Amino acid sequence: MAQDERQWQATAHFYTQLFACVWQQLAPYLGAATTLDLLALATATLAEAYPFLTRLVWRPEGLEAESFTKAIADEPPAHVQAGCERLLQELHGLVQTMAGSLLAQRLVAATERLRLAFDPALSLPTPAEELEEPPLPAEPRELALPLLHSVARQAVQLYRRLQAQEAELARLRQERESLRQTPDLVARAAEVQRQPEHSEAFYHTLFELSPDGVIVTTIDGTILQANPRVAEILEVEHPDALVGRNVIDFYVHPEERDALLEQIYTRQRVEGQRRELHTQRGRRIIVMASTSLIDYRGQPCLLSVMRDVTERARLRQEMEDFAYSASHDLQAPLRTFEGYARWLLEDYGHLLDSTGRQLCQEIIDEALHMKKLLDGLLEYSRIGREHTQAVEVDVRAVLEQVLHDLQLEIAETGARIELPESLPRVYYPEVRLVQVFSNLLSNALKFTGGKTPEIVIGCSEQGRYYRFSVSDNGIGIAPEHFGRIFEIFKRLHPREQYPGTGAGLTIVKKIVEAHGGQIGVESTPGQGSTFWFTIPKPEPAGDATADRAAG
Amino acid sequence: MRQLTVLLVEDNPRDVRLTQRAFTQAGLAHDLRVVRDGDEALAYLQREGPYRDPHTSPRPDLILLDLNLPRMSGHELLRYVKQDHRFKQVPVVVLTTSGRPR
Repeated sequence: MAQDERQWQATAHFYTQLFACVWQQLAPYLGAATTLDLLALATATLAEAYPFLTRLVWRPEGLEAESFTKAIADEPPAHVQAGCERLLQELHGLVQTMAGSLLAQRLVAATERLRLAFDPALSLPTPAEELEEPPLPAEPRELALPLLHSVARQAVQLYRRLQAQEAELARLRQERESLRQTPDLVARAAEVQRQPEHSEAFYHTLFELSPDGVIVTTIDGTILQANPRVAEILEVEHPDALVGRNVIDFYVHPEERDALLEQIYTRQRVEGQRRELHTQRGRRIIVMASTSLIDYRGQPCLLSVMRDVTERARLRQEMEDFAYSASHDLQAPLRTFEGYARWLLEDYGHLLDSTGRQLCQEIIDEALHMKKLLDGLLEYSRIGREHTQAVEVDVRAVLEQVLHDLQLEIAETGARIELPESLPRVYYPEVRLVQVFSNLLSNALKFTGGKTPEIVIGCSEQGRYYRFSVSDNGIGIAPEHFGRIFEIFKRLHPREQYPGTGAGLTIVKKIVEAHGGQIGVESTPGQGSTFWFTIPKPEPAGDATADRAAG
Repeated sequence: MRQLTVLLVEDNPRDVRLTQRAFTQAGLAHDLRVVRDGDEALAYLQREGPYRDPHTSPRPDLILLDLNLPRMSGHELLRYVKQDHRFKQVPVVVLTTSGRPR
């Protein structure tokens, strides 16, 4: 026992000496701070395997002997010996990497000489036999020292950063693996969500949680990945059951897929397309889908996001059908009111006094006004119900037609109307474009406030859109009414002042939006208004979906 | 001048009345025959049932057609009239509240 104890103490003594020697070799060249950094790095690497190393206290003068004694007190000798040797190796590696082989050689030479000087009976790991005393490399010149110090410091900092990055990378890889393997996402989620910028895990969560269907397919339609929402939309048990199937199986109109691919080839991305699908259970549904070409694990694929709008479409259809039949059915009694009141006036007018005749006249006027309201409602419901064919239209021809239709109003008001020099050809249902310009121009001719109307029609290009505008010098609109003017039957003025039903702008807005455009107004009360709207430019490939999207 | 035979296909009696008045006011020599729906119109044209006698049910020179009809719709009747060589020369005026062709 005593023998063991003595040997143990000798070993401890040896390593104290060894680390003192290490310090002497490194600190003068690298500087105390860098040497401490290197030791800390080496210790950190070994911390898990040899925790006692972390308890060593390094001072700017070297290892604190007392801390060493304390640190190893309860450790098995073999463990201490192995730990110290590993620390030495690690340090040697770091010195080699960062300070160059010259210093590393000096370090080895010094430590090996120390080993030789110690009692071989300690059974220390022996160096290669017949080790020659390696020549100590020359002392660096004093002037070079500060430079060397700073280089060494920077090297250590870089190395630290590298190590941190490698550790982060390893952690992410591991995280990805475990996410892939464990279905239990919840446990990991908290940790992952703290660093959303890191990783696939973030996108994976997004994919899983999305209230919209997200699906990845090959170009020919084979499903590679689908999120749980897609499974719900298509009424499939589990998203995995979709993998390997072809999306075309779910299309009500498979030819739409070819049209989609054609568009993808020309512009890589298609947004807000309406598509009819069959679910697994045979139910017919309507989805709005956006699709983009992506690189998925090295092959070109399609990523689609889809939303089930079946219910919305049904309600809208129902509402439009209702509006249509209601306004249609209401027309018949109105005809009777108007016709009979006229009849009364014509054949029995002489039996009535002037009040009686006035009342008949008012019945006629009101019936005619209500007919206009119903016409507006009918027209409004029609935009959604009826699919008008988009064709190539010359905007100038449309404007000329509208101006011709309005020639009476133009002549009455003495209006001056200015058209732009050049006007494009667009892809639009012609009657709808006529309606849009006709409504905007008749408003400009109507709300004049007694002035002679000066109307300027503008056209400019705005990215993927043409922007048209109709500016007048009329009464203008206060900004707080900007929203209201587009609501159906909302009017800002009494009918006696400005006749009309309040349906015109609502119809214009519905047409513009149904064809992928936007509408807006700018106005200064008393000075005039500018109504503008946009029309998507024609696509290179024929785009037959524009009007269908209105449905 | 020969009297103009007009077949009015209209289910609303008030509209029938207004139409009759309009013809009277226009001062046209006319013989207005009224049927209430597409099926009756078809029977009239084909001289079936009560319309068997060509003297009491002469072939119309003009058809006034309300599109919104019970039973056979105005559209169906129009298609029939325009496909039959006996009637396709007869002008049809469609009475509708819609301002646009449907």
